Amino acid sequence: MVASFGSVAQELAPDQNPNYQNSAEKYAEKSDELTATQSETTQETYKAFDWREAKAEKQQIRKDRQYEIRKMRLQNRYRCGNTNRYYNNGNPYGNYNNQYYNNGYYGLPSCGTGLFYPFH
Amino acid sequence: MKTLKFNLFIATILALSVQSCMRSVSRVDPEKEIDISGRWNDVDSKITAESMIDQVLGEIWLKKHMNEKKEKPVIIVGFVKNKSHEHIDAETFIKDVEKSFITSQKVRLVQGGEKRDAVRGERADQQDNSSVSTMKKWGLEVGADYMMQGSINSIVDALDRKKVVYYQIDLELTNMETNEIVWIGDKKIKKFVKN
Repeated sequence: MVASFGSVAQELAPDQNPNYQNSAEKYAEKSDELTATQSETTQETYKAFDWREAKAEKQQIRKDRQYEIRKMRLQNRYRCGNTNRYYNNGNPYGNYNNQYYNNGYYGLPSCGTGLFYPFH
Repeated sequence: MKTLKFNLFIATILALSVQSCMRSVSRVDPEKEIDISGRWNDVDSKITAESMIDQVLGEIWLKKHMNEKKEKPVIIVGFVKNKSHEHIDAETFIKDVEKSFITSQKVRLVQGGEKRDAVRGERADQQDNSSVSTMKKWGLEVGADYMMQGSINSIVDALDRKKVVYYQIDLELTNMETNEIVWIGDKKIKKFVKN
């Protein structure tokens, strides 16, 4: 949609460019967008390098990574190794040959090898 | 008895330590200069405003305008770009500059941005709801002669526990018709922060 400025005829001022209408129409379409930031501060900030902050950030990343690794190990503990001592009915020594063990929990020999069947 | 004394001693230590953790708040004079973190604060905003006000009202562009146009210039505030490394809201010092325009009566100010839209909205509402004698007409807004725009920049130099932060705040007035920049004001602030 092209905005019309023809409702009020404007006489050319001395030295005024006769093609002013092109510019006026072009900017009339964008005036709302261009005036929206009046009286406002547009934030175009950058991150300044600070040795101490960078060091603290690296430490935090390391701590977060260690936490994630520990969490993953905890979540995967039933998949590898003898955990029956915690899961079964209270026998602290675990039951390698009981029905719970043989139904999906893998022994140490199969840990990490991916070779489950030869060991069961 | 010994147990009682010991318990009393522990209780005293606990009471003192809790008291030292308790937060205390006290009102201070807004003019008082307090620097805590080294970041941009109200003191920086205040000294920027004071400097800009002196510059904008004291420089040649105002006299030149008065001589040519025989009337006070009209200014509208545009945007200020913050290109520094911190969040800074320019309104804290721009508002002081605007206030100085009004109180000095040397410069006229017109509303811009969202507030102007709100005024126009109310004016539109008046066309339907206000009495004929009190409703305000369209097309009588004062056109600005100049627009004030600005930018905030910073340079940071840091090593170990020391940091030098340099801020430069620039404001300029641009003629709305000719695009000519008639005034540029700046304020430079440099801080040395040691941890």
